[in-house]
Amino acid sequence: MDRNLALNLVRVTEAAALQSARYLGRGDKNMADEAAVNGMRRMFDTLAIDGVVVIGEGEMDHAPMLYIGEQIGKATEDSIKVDIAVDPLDGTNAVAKGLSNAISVVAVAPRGCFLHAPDMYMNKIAVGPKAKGRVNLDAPIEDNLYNLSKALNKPIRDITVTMLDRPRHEELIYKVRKVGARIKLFQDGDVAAAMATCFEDSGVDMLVGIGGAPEGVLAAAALKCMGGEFQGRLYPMNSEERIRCSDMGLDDINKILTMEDMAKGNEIIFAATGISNGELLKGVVYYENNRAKTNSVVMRAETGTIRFIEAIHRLDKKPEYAK
Amino acid sequence: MDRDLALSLVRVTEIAALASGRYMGRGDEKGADQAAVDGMRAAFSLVNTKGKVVIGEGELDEAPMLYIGEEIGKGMDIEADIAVDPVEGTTLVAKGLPNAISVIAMAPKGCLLNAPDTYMKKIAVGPKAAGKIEIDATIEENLNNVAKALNKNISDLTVIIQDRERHKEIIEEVRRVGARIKLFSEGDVAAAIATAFEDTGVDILMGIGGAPEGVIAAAALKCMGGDFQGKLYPMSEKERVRCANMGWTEDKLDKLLTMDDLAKGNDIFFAATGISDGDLLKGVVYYGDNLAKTHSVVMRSKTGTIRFVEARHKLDKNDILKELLRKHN
Repeated sequence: MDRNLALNLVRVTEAAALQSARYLGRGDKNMADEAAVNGMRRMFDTLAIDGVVVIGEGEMDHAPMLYIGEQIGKATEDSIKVDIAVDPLDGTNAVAKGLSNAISVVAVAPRGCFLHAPDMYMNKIAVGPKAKGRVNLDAPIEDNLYNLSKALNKPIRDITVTMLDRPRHEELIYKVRKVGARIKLFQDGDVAAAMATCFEDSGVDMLVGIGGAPEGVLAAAALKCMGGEFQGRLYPMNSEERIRCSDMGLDDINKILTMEDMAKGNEIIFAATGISNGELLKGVVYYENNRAKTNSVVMRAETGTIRFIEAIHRLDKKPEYAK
Repeated sequence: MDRDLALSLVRVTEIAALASGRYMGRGDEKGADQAAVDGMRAAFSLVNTKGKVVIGEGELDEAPMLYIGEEIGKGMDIEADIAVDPVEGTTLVAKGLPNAISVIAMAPKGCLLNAPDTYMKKIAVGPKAAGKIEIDATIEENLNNVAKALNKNISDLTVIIQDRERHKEIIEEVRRVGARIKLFSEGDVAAAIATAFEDTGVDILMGIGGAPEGVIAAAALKCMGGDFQGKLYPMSEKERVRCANMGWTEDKLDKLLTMDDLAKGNDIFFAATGISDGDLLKGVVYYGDNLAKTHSVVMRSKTGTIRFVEARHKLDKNDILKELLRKHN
């Protein structure tokens, strides 16, 4: 895939973040999300790609833009056909309340490479490159912690596990505490938490627990670029969701989904921009004279290059579609 | 010009820096330069533009690659002027000293001045002091005006000056007026750029340096909204002849060169990557497992966006790099 797409994907998440961050702390989840969707969609329209949204804002009747199946990009005859996975705002609550760790994310792969994950729960485990191949979604948490500790060459008490702060994780929390590892609970932002496992400085070693399946595909794309590991299993809560799984052609719901199942191949590009301050990316800061600063990361699985981009924008000099 | 060129240019300076960085402290200036030239040339062959080198490694007979007039890039339509300094500060790399960078600037055809290889008297400041400098004014006037624009005392102002015998008088005068001075041994472009970022602690560049570097610095400062003025300043008869041959006859030498004379219009790209640690950019760091990290900046005058790029490279997964590092290992 065209490597120039990498910086353009950063432009997409930057545009979403710059729009959405205006709603920080304003108590309006929907507006924060809508702003991110608008920013993302308008920047996408300027890219020479033939894209189809595979992971997006929901079904067509639920979302006016970036809905699943939507064609986006300024396609020309020789444009590459791609799958697009987006979460314009990962952490709507975080932005509405001015809390940390909200990001805007996008991943792109050749057509057919992303799993069309239904909008339901997924049981997940994620670790960074050093622990790749050392954990298993089906193994007891105690075993995973033990193996992780060996792979990272640090005692279990120095290991930090991150998971969503939800009642459904009560038992998991109990078990992790019993073994003696540290826990970092988070409210919102499943993709950012999975990514954090790949950066030593984040202080986060492993993500476990049940979160969104669409976010799982985005996390799998990101961890593939970074050389980490991600496994998931769909977690339908009722028969209706189970039917949806089989409707989408997923026969064996119990199958462990590997990174390869969720984000196939090596031609994956992933980008994210911070909206509010987080472990990995700083949030948007607005300065005097119509300037703003964003922090982003962009990665390509093919070359393994990871670029952190701190950009200073002149908001008054931006083209119309980026305003 | 297409905004996609921005990241392409960063790749060019990144690859030059990754190759040249291998020569750090090895006492081999030529090797450090050759590696950067090889890297820049290889990476540029993928850039989607029809480029012509206007500032480069020298005349065709002096330089086998990136010589003035060389056509580079794989594009057919977009004609562009290219100004490069594959290693700014070859001695710095050879000795392992700070502030070596790899730089490139690009503008539509005819927009970058084809400056003769001679000296240039220069003055540069960041955005807050733009419009407040005059190369012909006295040092005291310039320092006063810049101090006022930055809303700080003269005693808090830092002037960056190349550590050369020819600057003795400038240094004495700056000290008399009461400003601070930061001397640098090499790296004129890096010093000029530093004036545009408050955190570098550098407010103004003054002195006499290379004219080709002046063009690159002007391109960078234009992207950042800073200011730059220059005047050609041949120091020998040979240089005067060289200037005259390029149309800079004696009567024209005193012409004030503004940013617009050096880098015309508003469609300019600039990228730089640190080779050794500097005021603005960190140098290349090589890690285990074939990993290396680079720190770059890329800018576009049209939108005024400035991007700092910290990149982690897998040296064994990139074909151009693999080839280069086999030669420069």
